[in-house]
Formats: sequence, structure tokens, C-alpha cells
Amino acid sequence: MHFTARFGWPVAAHAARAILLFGLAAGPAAAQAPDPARVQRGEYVFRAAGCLGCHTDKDGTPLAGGREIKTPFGSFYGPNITSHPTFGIGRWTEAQFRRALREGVRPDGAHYFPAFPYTSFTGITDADIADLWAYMRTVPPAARPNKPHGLGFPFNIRLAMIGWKALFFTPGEFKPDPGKSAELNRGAYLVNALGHCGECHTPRNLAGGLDRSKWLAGGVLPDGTAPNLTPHPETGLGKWSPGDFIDLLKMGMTPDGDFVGGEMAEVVKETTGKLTEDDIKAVIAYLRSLPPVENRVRKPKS
Amino acid sequence: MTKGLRFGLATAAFAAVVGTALIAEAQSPQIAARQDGMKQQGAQMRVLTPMMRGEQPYNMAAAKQAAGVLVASAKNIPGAFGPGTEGGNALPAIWTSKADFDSKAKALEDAAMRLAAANDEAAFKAAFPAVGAACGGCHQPYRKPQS
Repeated sequence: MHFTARFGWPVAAHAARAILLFGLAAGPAAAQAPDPARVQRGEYVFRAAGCLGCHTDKDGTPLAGGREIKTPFGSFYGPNITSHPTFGIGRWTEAQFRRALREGVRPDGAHYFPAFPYTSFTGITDADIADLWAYMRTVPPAARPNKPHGLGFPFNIRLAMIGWKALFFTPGEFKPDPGKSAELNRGAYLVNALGHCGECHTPRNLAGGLDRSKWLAGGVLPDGTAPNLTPHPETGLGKWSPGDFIDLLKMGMTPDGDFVGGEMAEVVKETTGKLTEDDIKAVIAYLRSLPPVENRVRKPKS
Repeated sequence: MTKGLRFGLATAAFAAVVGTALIAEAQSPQIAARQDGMKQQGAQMRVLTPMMRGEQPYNMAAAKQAAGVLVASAKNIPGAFGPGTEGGNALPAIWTSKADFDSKAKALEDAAMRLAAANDEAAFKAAFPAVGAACGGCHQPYRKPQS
């Protein structure tokens, strides 16, 4: 406990300075060690939300950012979300973190581009955000500066996000449907809020908004396609057995014995393959309960 | 030259170039052969997974046979992606990280070998996940996303 005593003052002084500088709400958060149970739950939320992929460069330091995310509007680069005070999010408060996920707003008030899937993360519950934040604070700091996004005019205008959000974004925590089972609600929460599956597996309109009339009916990506996940027998997963879903989610094998490559292989390794048995069952139950949408996903000829 | 003729010639030239490129892709014997090899491996997985899932009773002979095919096939992988055979669903990273790629093929060979050595259902079920992990572990960095 010598350390705490010795460093108690500078930490407190630093926190006080941070409050003065950034006008943060005063709170004891910065001085407390996170509760291990919360950190453990937060790590599970972190896996289920698949944060690692976009925020880690190929073979890079975990969560230090740099991964290129290609979109029709240009390339985004996932930012550093380690606990580094300058390059990461080490100076953030839990309230700022919650606001980023729930509202898509940076601590300085600027709007995030929806390459950051707050359109899905807005549904993450306050409890899960609190646990996730406890985990994020344990991520070792990495001194890696963020790479500016490679966007052309007019897509580089952040202010335009106000209009985009008004059109395509409905903020709000996931509310379970009382008419559905706990399993189906859990599945919907895992797929739509944490897993943000719809960000790739739902078609987008020309402005990059999700076409909610074709929810999870497949999407076209710059480097491939994301299949139709609805139970449509010809164009979706209507012919898949529960075992087929389990093999895909746990090890990435499709019913023909093939194994997914690229981004989905990473999703399997880092996210779906790490879910509990109950959560996998909930995801499958939810996907099989979706209204079947006929949508054959094809990559447009370029 | 009339506008129509010029357009026609341009279209024909474009079609010829694209067509040749497509045929070249389809006719590369190495690419076709390794794609067949991968499909063969997929076929073995379709024999193995129903036993793993419990949808079919465990059959030691069938399991060993399929695992043996995977061992033999995995041995062929490094050579099937030799110099100058870029293309198909293979990502260029294979040829820039060939040693790592080959080590992943070896991981499949070893996992399949352990599966082939399983002499009862419990050992089979214990050894199987490593085979799936080897397939997925190589497809993640080196195979194009499906489209």
C-alpha cells in the first residue's frame, strides 16, 4: 500500500487538473481500482461487441487503432482506445464513454461518423457499458497516434453527421419485448446491440443508412458480401439446422464444409466463438425468428 | 470510322480482354487443382461434423479415413500455393508470408493426425475442434471473404 500512499497525491492532483481543464463532472473514478467482477463481465461485453477488430491494426498492438475500414465514402481508421491519456481514451470519464456509444458523440461534442457503429451500440444497456468501461480502463496504454480518416469532400464534413443522424439514427437503450421470451430478447440484444451484425448484414441506402425494411437480409461490402441471415429458404439461412448455426458461430464452418475467411473469420475467432452456450443458443433462436426476406446478395460488377 | 463502329470495336476489344482474363483464371491448372483439394477437405468435414454433433453415431473407421485424407491433403497445401500461382480465392499475403502460411498448413496436418489417432468417441470429440480451428485459422488471414 506504500505505492498508493506515495502516489495518492499526484493522481489526485492530476484528476483535479483534468477536471479544471476539461470541465468534467467531479468524481472519484480516476483514483479507484476497478472492481474485478466488473472487469470480468466487461471483458465478456467487450468480446461480444467485437471492439478488437476495428480498433486494432493487422498484427498491431491490441486496441491501439489503425485498422483500415473501407466504405464507399472513403477509408476510416479505427482510433486508439487504450488507456493512454494522450493517444487513447485514458482521460475519458464513464459518462463520456457512455455518450460515445449511446449518442455517437465525442467528448468534445463532435459527431462520430457511423463507421463507428453507434447505430447499434446505442442499444447497449447502462449496466453493460459500466462493466465495459471498467474493462477498458485495464487496457494497457499504447502511445500510438490516430491516423486521420481518408475521406473525400463532401463526406469529410463532420457537421453533416447532424443531418445523417436525424435521418438514420434512433438513440436509445435496448428495451426487451415483453411479448417475446427472455431467450429471444437476449438474442436480439446480442445480434443487434452488442454484435452489431446488421452493420454489415443489412443493406444500406446511397447515403449509408441501414435499410431497416430488409433487416439482416444481407449487405454488399467493398471487399465482398455479407450474406442474408434471415430464414428465407432460397436466399437466406432457411435451410440451416441449429447444428449448422453452431458450427458457423463456434468455428466458422459453413454447411458445405467450407470455412469463412476474412472479416467473418475474425468475428468467429474473437466474438461468436467466445460466447457462452446460452448466448449462442439465444443468437440462433433470434436469427431463426426473423421474418424471412428474399434478397439475393450479389456484388455489383465493377 | 463511324461512332457506332468505334463503339462496337471498343466493346469487342474490352470483351476480349476481360474474357481472356476470365479464361486465364479459370484455366490455371494449379488454381483449379488446389480448389478441388480444398473441396475434398470440405467433404471430409461433412463426414466428420455429424459425428461430432451427435447427429450420426460415431464410426471409428469412417472418422479415421476422413482424418487420414485431411492429413494427406494438408501435406499438399504448401506446394499447391507455389510461386507464380497467385489468384483464385487466395489472398496475396500467402506469398509474402509463405513461412507463416506453411506453418498453418502444418498445424492442420498435426491436428488431423491427432484426430486420425483417436480410438474412441471421447478422444475423437476432444481432437476435432483443433482441426476446425486450423481451417479457420488459415482462412482468416489468407482466404478472400466469400462473395
